[in-house]
Amino acid sequence: MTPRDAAPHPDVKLAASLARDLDRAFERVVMLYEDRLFRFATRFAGNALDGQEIAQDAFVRAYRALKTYDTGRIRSLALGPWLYRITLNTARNRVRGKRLASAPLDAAPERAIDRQEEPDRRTLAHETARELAAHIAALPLRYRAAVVLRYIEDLPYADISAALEVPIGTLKANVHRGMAMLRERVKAAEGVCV
Amino acid sequence: MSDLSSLEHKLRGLRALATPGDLASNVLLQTGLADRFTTLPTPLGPMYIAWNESGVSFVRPARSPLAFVKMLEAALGRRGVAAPMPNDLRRALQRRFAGEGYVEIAVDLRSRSAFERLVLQRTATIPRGSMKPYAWIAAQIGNPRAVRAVGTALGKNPVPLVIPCHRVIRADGAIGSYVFGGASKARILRVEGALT
Repeated sequence: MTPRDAAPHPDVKLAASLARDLDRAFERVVMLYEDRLFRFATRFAGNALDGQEIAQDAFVRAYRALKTYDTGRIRSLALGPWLYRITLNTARNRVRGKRLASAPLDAAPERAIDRQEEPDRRTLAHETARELAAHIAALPLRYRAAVVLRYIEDLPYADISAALEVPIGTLKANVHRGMAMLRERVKAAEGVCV
Repeated sequence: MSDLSSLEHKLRGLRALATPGDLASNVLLQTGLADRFTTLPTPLGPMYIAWNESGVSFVRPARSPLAFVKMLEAALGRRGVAAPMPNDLRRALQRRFAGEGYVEIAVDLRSRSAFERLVLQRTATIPRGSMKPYAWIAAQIGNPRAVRAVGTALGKNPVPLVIPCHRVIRADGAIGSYVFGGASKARILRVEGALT
């Protein structure tokens, strides 16, 4: 298949739809990105209550921004990285305003666990997920966003670089450093538990 | 499995997270891309009534909430979200339907053309218990030859009963057509005392 034959990325078509009719197409943006932005915001903030408010605020800010953009600017948007960037800025503002809930371990509902697992294993996996989520939420901001976008959101470095507005070299260093810090904290916590 | 790949594996496990069911509808409501709706009793039976920040936006009977949501989307291009109605709006509508004096109720006519809005706004001034011919509306809006267009505009009234398009009849005294049918038009006019 030649590049000419390749189907355009869904975001390109969606950006074109937004440029044509913002109000009709924006609902599709919400449907397509609500899971991703909620997950990113929740993992960044450390709890689902803040995650929902951050994701909602981010969508509203995105819509208001799009209202002010001309069609050419909307058409050329890299929609995914742009939405993650708005979500990150919304979350950062809340962190700076100290409006985040103070007990991340109490919050995010985990459903990563297989319901068929026996209760003890399920409880253990649930606890592990909650503790890991808390360790992520405690990382310094610059490492936290990089780690979440790379290893939970599974974004390619180019998209993360666009979302965070940092060069790829710096980004890779931040991901590496964030993962090292996370590994140390997980190991330290396991050591305490054993 | 090395420490790093084990950690990566655990991080992937954090992808599964249930998104709150009201997240999307909250966004659509906050951006004005969705209207709230509920049902209220009216002189023509229970009606689904939608509203937003601008006012009451859509009034129709429907077999189910889903049927109403489909009608709302087809008519206004906006999503419907079931919600309790604010008490002040509920009381204002109840008083309007019961004919308890003049009650100010904001309506959202953004979906209609400038001409249609003019027709509907003039129609809103016809008092309970009286009827006016289509030609009267046409004359009132400064377009006396647009009698047929007035009828078409009234047929697209998104908020019947709130804007009383049933009070507009034909010049020969026949009651004419109505968005809910001629029988309903005669019925509401009798309830209001305009017809015996």
